[in-house]
Formats: sequence, structure tokens, C-alpha cells
Amino acid sequence: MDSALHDSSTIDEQAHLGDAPGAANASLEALILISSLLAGGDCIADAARVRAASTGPCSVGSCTRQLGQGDRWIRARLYFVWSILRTRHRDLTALITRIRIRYRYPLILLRAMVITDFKLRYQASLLGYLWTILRPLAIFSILYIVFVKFLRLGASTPYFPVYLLFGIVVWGFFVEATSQGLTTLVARADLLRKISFPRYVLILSVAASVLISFALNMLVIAFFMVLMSVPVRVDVLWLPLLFLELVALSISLAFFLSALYVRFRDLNYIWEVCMQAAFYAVPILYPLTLIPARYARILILNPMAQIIQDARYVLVTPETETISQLYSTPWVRVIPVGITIVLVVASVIYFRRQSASFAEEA
Amino acid sequence: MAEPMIRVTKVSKDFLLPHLRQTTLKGKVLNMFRTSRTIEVQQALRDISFDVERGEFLGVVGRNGSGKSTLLKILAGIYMPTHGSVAVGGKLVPFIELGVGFNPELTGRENVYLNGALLGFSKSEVDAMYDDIVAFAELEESMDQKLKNYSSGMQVRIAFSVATRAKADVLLIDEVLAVGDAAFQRKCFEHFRALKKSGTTIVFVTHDMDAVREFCDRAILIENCSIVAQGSAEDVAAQYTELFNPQPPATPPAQGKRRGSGAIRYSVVDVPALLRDEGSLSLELEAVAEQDVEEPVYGFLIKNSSGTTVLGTNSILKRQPLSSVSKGERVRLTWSVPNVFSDGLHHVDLTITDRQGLAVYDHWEEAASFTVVKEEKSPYIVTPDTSLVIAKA
Repeated sequence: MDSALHDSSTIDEQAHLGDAPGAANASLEALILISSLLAGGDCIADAARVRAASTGPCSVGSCTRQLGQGDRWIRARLYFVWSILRTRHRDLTALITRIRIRYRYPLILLRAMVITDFKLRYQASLLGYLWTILRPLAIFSILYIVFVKFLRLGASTPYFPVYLLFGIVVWGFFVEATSQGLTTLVARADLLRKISFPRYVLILSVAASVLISFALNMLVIAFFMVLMSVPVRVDVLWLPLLFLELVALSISLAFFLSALYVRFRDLNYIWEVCMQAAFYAVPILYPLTLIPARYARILILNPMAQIIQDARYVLVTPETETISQLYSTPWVRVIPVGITIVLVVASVIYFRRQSASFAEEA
Repeated sequence: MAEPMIRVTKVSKDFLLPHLRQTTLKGKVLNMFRTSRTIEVQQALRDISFDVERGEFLGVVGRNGSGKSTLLKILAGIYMPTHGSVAVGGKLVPFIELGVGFNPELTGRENVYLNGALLGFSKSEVDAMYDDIVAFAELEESMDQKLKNYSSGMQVRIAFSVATRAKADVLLIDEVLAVGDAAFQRKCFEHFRALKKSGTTIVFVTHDMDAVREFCDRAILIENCSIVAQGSAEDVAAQYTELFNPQPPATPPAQGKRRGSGAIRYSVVDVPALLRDEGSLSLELEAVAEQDVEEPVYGFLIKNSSGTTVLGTNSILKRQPLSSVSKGERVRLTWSVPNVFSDGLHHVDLTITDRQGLAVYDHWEEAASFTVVKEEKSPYIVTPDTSLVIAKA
């Protein structure tokens, strides 16, 4: 036990639980189990690493892992959560230390990849990082002129320019994160074939880059809000939660699509078309009041529609038609949020299952 | 600890042949309606089991395509075994390729940080070792240039310099030593020697039997997807060399380039396919005349695999009496050539010309091939039997 903690200070991870199985206590054991599960045998920082094929388990110490068995994986995770809940304080410190060590390598990688991506992205372009902001602004201007000035949409909505721009920015995040995430495994196939590292880092690095752009865009929104003197209400405190849902939805789709794209190379074209269609299926340009209520009620069940409308409601104007108003109860949010949660769980399981063969197939 | 550092248990690896994989939706949909799917499975490894002890330097040898690199990738965790398991009891760093993740658009400095991150070093750790890395690579001046402006030698130097910092219990090396100039290779070998002394466990995949003999405590030989020999480096190296010897390469009836009028042409060419340390090579030839030919001159050339002419002669040079041949006549020739050839593949060119060498009746390039296997490996075009006596005067 003590020696295990002691080893925590070194870079590599020790997954020895003492020589006798069961010598360590249950929470640490579970933690090691989850570490090795998450590592998926694809992390060079793993000290005691076990890779077993689907034909049988293999073990080092008391750490056992099988591939291709999602239910087992879920059981291990549930066991892990349960063991955290009944953990004593002293063990919790050990647990945190272990988590820190476990995710050290992925974090180092993530950081390096995001920095590289930012250095490379606008290289040799004249305006450089300004494009991060200029692009949505340009799209906004076009849509504003066409739809607001000529077609007179949104005249009834207060602060419609901010309302529109905010929708575009949120939607832009979703599109960028999913479509860039989709190709990333195949694009970095060289890396996958040469070194073993947690594959999810690639997806997260794309998401992180896009998230940084999103943050910059939010500054522009803030600027416009000040310019148009949009009042800030207490409701805005919901915004982080909505963004969390947005990020979870986008990343889980990116995980799912990227793993699927390794096998089906048509997917990027299909996804591009889907995104075009979805742009109109989600109330970005038009106020939801323009749609007959029975259709609006279906459209709003899409998590992206729910997120955008709720976010506009809390940040821009309470005169936004949200899911609560359409169904006259806030509890109907269970459906889009539930969809998001299911997507997160399913995509993580799918990604993990597939990740063993990425190096061969990407 | 008695536990081995690496335990490989009954590992097999199958690859589905990529051209038969359905990687598009269309292919998938079309295939759905087919009752029997034909998926061709290619086995890369079959039932591989071995242990590597702590601090051991294990050589893995085998021919191209025998599965060595697949094994290394499985050890590195890049591929998953189809059956069986691999257990590694420490931190493992693969040297499967130098400079993984290098980006030509970034500067040398930025690439050092990126490559360091892939090896598990945080920014502050790379900060601390940065000067050493640059000094080791001897590239102080060019670190702020983009990598694309580096020569390939410089890139390798900087990559190797970062890689040597990796602290590992187990190191996997895949012939990275093949790159770089002699001085750089020496540097690599010195580094590996130092690592071995410090107790690092090393798995080394190579074709270089001298390196196996010099460094490895033990070696395994992989042939046709499975281990055919394991034991001392010396024994395995000898068996590896033997792999190339016993079977004469199947020489298909040589169809080299052939020109000439054909008035008289070779009809039978009999050359042994394999020449060991025998004293001489004999070329048994027969030529048939399609027309009357006055005083034909028979010649041959022997070239090595790089196309350099090793030797050659003809019947005039040998001062053989020239006799005319009339239509339908056959001529038998037997050349006996001392075996001065160097190890490797050789080709025989055969000619028949007129006395002046102006009219070419038959000029047959690569009419036959033979392989020479000699104890003495020399890089020169001939390896005659030389002897040496060393004595103190």
C-alpha cells in the first residue's frame, strides 16, 4: 500500500497491488482497474500493462482486462463509482494522486497537440488568428443582410443581431467539433501506426482547439451585447450548464463519428450534407414562432435546438421560445438531455471497442 | 523479482486483407445482400510465446515479411493480438520510428517539445533537458529554423537526441540504426551499450547479424509467422544465415534480353543455380546453326547483381581455332571458370559474333543466373581464395 503511494511520485504508473492479490484495498483496486481499462493498453505511460485478446483474460497482479466486452467494462465502471462512494478520506487522497498520475500523459499530449494545432492553423495567412473571429462575423453579416434586411425575419425579436450571431457561433462550434473530429483519426493515421497513446486524446485535442475559438467568439458576443446594451439577467448562470451540454454532445458525436469514419469513408460527405440540412432544422436563422407549433415541438427535441434556444433565452432575451414554453413544462428537457447522455455513453463504449483496431484500419 | 519483464503468451495476429475490406458504405450495403462473404485472412504471427527477463538484450531476427515488425508493434501496444496476451512489467518506449509526430512546418525547437510530449515529457521537463538535447544533436545554430529546412541527417539527429532522453524500463528498437551515417550509427550503438549496462531491457529487431552477436544476450528467429529458433545470439545468427543458404533460389528459365540475327544461336544453357565454395563454375552450352556461319566467336560475360562486369572472355581471346559451322550443325561448349566470385547473385551474358565482332548472331543478356554463397563476405566484386599467415617476426 505504502509503496504503491510512494511510487506515485515517479513518472510511470505502477499498477502493482502488492504481491498478494487483495492486499490492497478495494477502492485502489478499482481505481487501478479503471486506469487499465481507460488506458486500454494504449498508453506508454502505463507501467503494468496487460493486453489480452478476446479469447481470454490475462492478468498482472490483480488487474484483469478483457477486450471487446462492453458489459464487463460497464460493470467495472459501476463498481468503481460505488467504491468511490464508500471511500474513506485517506483513500480519497491516494485516489486523487492516482488519477493525476493516470492522466498525466494524456494531458501532456493534449496540451502539445492543441498548441501545435494553433501554431499551424493560421500559418502563412495574413490576418492569422483574427480569422477565428472574422469568419463567423462574415457569415453573420451575410445572413443578417439576406434574412433580416431583405426577408425581414426576426423583426419581433429584441436584439435580433446578437440573437442571430449567438446562434451562429454555437452552431459553428458544433459543426467544427464534429466535422473536424470526424476526420482526425484517419488524418493522424501516421501517428496511430507509430506510437501507442490514448487515442481519445486526438479527438479531445480537436475539441479543445475548437473550444478556444468558441471562447474567442464569445468575447465578440460580449462586445456586441455591450454595444447594444443587452441587459444581463440572473438567468445567465445557466449558461455554463448549457455549454457543458453542448460540449458533451459535440464531443460524443465526434468520438462516434471518428471511430465510424475509420471503417466507412463515405461518412464525411454524408455528415457534411447532414450539417447543411440540420442548419435549417435548427432554429438559427428564424424565430421558432414562425413554425407551426406541432412541428416546432418536434424540432425542439433535437438537443442542438434545445441548447441554442435555451442559451439565447438566458443570455440574450427572455422572448425566446424555448422547449419549456412549447410544452409548457421545463421537465420535457429530460428528452434532449437524455439523448445527449445516451450519446455520450454509447459513443465512449463504441470508441473504446474500436480503438484497438485503429492502427490497422485507419 | 522473478517475474519476466515481458511475457508473450501464445500470440497470434491475423490481418484482414485490406483490398477486400469494405470501407465504403456502398460496399457495405452491396455486401449485405451477399450470402457468403469472402474475407481473406492473412496470418502475420502464429502462436508466439517467449519471455524477456529483466535487463536482457533480446534480438529478434527473421526475413522480410516474417512478422518481426508486427510482433514489435504488438509489444508496443499499437496492434492488438488476435489471440494470446502480452504482459509488460514496466514503462515501455518504442523506437519504431524516430521523430514520431515531427511536423515540417514547425521549428526545430517546437518539434523537440512536440516529440518530447509524445514520449511523455511535460513542458517543464523538456525545458530542463533542452540544452542537452540540442548539444547532443550538435544543432545549436539551427533550432529556430523550420524543420523542413533541415537535412534528413539533421532531422534524424534531433529526433534521436530527444529519444535518448526517454526513461524506459523496456526499449523496443526497430532497425532505426539503419539510418544515418557511420558516425551517427556509432553514437547509437554507444547509447544502447550504455543502456544495456544500466539494466534496461531491450528488444531489438534487425537484419544485422554482427549487431546481434555483439549486443544480444539471446535471440529469437521468426520464419513464416512463428518462432523457429531461440537461444544464444551466436546460434540464432548462424541459423539465420543458414536460412538463406540451403535453398537455391528458384531460377526461372531466364528470359533476358536477346538480340542478334539468329544465324547461330544458343539452344541449351546449363549453369548451376548455386555455387558454394567449389573451385569452379562450369557453363555447359550448346548452339545450333540456322544457316551456314563462317568462323563464329563464342563469348560470355559474368555480371554481379549491381550490374558490374566481374569477368568475361571469348573464344578468340582463348586462342581457340575458329571453325565454320554449316546449317543444322550443333556446337557444344564447356566453359570452366574459377570461382572467384563474391557472395551474391550473378548473371551470365552469352554472345556469338563474327570474327570482327561486327555481325551479332546471338547476344543474350542474363541468359542464366547463379547465386554464390561464400563464408567470406566481401563488398568487392571478386573474392578469390586468399590466405593469410600472421606470425610475430
